Amino acid sequence: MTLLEVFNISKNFNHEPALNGVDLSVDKGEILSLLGPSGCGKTTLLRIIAGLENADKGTVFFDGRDMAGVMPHHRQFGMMFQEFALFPHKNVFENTAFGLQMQHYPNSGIKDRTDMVLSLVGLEGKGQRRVDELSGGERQRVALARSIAPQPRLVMLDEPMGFLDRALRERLIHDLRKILKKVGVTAIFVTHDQAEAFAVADRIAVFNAGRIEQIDAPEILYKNPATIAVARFLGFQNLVMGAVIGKGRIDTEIGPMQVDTGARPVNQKLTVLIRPEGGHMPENRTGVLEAVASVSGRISDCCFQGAGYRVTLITESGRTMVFNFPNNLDLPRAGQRIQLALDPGSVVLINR
Amino acid sequence: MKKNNKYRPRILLITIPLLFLAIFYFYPLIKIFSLSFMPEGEWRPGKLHKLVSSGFYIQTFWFTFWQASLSTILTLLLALPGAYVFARYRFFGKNLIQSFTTIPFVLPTVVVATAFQALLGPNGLINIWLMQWFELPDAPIQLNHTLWFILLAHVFYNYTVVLRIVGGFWSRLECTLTEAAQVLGASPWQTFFKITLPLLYPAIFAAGLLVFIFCFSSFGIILILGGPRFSTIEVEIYRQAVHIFNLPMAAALSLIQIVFTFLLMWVYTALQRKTGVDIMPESSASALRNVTTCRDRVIVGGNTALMMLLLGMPMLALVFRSFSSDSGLSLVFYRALFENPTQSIFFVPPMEAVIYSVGFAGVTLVLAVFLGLPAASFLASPQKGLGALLDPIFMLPLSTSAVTLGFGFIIALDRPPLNLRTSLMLVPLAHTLVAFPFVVRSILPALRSIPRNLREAATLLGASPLKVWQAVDLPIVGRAVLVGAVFAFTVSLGEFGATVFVARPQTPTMPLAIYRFLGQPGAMNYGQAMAMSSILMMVTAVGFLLLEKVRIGGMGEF
Repeated sequence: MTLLEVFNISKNFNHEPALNGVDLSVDKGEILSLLGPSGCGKTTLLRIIAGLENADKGTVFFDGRDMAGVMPHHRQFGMMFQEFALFPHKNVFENTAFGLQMQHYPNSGIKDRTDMVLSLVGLEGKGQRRVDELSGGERQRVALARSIAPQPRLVMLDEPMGFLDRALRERLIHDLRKILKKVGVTAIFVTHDQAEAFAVADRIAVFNAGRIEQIDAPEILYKNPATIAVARFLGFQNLVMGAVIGKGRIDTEIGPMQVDTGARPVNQKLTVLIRPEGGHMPENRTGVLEAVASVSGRISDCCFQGAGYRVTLITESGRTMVFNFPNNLDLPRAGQRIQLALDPGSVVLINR
Repeated sequence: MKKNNKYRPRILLITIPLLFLAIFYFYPLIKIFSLSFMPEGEWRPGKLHKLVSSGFYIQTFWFTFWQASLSTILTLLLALPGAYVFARYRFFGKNLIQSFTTIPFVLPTVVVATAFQALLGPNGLINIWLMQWFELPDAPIQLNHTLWFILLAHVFYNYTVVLRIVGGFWSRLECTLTEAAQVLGASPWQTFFKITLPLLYPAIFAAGLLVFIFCFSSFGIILILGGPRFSTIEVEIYRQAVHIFNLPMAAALSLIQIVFTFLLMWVYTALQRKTGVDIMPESSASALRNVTTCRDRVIVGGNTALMMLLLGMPMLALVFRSFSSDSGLSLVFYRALFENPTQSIFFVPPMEAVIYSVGFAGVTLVLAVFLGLPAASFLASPQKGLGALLDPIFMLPLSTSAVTLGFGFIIALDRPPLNLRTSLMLVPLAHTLVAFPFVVRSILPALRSIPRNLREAATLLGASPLKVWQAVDLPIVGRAVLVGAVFAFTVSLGEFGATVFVARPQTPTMPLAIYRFLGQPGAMNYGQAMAMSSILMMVTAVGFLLLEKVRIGGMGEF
């Protein structure tokens, strides 16, 4: 059941478009992640949904109701701010209880609910601590507790891991999903880190330059990036130009390949993505000839990375490509020429 | 041995400022104490006790206290919305208005009082207009010698203190805090009272305390606008000492004034250190709103209109009244300043007051910089014990009211070993005492901003300490010295509280001349007060605006 629907939202800042015709919807109980480089309009979209900012164009519907003109404090949304925005003059308990007090909960109810939420985020017994005595991870937990304590209809998290160090992030991100799912709250999670988005989200919306490039479940997104921007943002480097030359056949700058072209017409221009784990060193020459796709070039760099090798290849057309190999292989040295057979499943076609 | 060698020039650096303070600050202060406790040359604290417990004494103290409280509350109420506008909005002409609002604060108190006379006094602009329009026989607005007149002038004078301190602090409050409260369901009012206001308390308290201190030791405004009915401790010290010549009473009043201002200043500096509230913080440009909605327009427009009305009208009225005689606009009052009529209250043409003022200000400038530069240099060099002790000592004159300084001067420096009663130097010496802390405070940050390795590099390249100072310190500090010098000059031009004690009748300063003009009947005297106040206002305002320019330029350089 769709809870939040955003239609054609546009917003300019100083005549620069920050959001450009954004559409998206979130189902009840779903965690949607907005993923994109910093400054691409994710935070602005959150602020518009929260009512802290007005859109120039477009509509936000919540539970079938147009939210235009509904003040932020009447929306019953929760928000976790980038730098947490904890009230410095209130302690952990008072911060967490603030939203409940605003809803005129009875005092005993406030105490029970606040204690419950604090123990949910792992802060039981720390209610009387001042917020400036807390570590970064604890602050993040208070911010989370505060945003979910009043049982919001939707909670928005703006880069909640942004100010924490790497090790802490990896630990907290899994807790975050667990807590959100346990509460069963509908959530929008903004991040620039794809690993975070994959770890938390049910679906991911990839943002670029004020528009949404693709919305899909993490696995689908990873397997079939819809645009070059998405592919680049997911960290894929092996992108080559190509075109459909017939049913199941394409031609690329590194040679022809036989792959599933789907319903694409002949002459459809493509960008071809080759996954780094898709290259195989064939036993012999026929192995290459039998392969549906191959790539050849000179090894420019071979880097041991523990679990495997990372090989950089320069193709005859001059394109740099990167492949990963397991560490039990006897690899040719840098400078040598090499021909790789490509796994058909590792070749992804993106329309241009 | 080596350490001693390094230490000696620094000690020399500090002796002259210390000697100056010892003779012209501490010695008069001791005199006040001894006069309070030993009125006839012997230890008689009982006499002091009798004075202090008299109804008159308590009454004076009580009035001083509650007029200051009322002024503070009124200033806060009027200026807080303005602080909000400056903290949260971006609008056309904001910087200009901000500079403008600071002018009242730097105006001499005598000018402030005259400006309010020009606007709302019995012969003030508004009364004259009302009388003309409605053909009234008398002035309809009778504010002269009422408490309201004093309060209004105090608000005018202190508005910018609240605007700057609270506005600056407010602009550095994270916007996300109030947004977080809103998202959590707090209405705008709840957000203000539960989040914003509690977070602003330190700044509001600091600003309020500073305003309270200024109003507590208010002298010129109450003397001129309050008339004989009202007197604060400051005014009473003056009356007892100069009119009634009851020196023990004046000393006893000075005592409580000294104790109280010290206490208040101490609380203020402690607070300032704790909360990091600067007197003039820089405003951050982040998260400023544009004026878009109708509500924004009302808030911003209303507050800027209030600023213009409250702060601009008295100044405009002053200038206007200085040009308006019975026969319309004319320069007659300005021309009269050059004449010396037979019935004059002066022994000299009033214009000579301008010359004396500028002369005194010039000497003050030289003295204050001459004393302030070595003092600041000493404080700036890294040290532990002595510097930490001397820093507050150098600031002491700042937390001593001008009237007590002046009173101390006349009871301490009028007999051997130091008989300066007839000396022309008495006025610039008193002014230097007032200006000296400002000069130190202007130069010190610039000196501290010089990285130490710059000096070390110069030393290693073969420069002697004097050469290092010439090549490194002086060019960097030059601008700060200029700021300090302009400060000293304008402080001296407008100084009234101490001058009224120490200046001789034949060598009046401009504020003194204005005060005497106002005390005399007749349109001519009134007009001349307006004319001279206008001149003084222009000079101070120009000096201050110059200062702002130099300062901003200075910040860009580092």
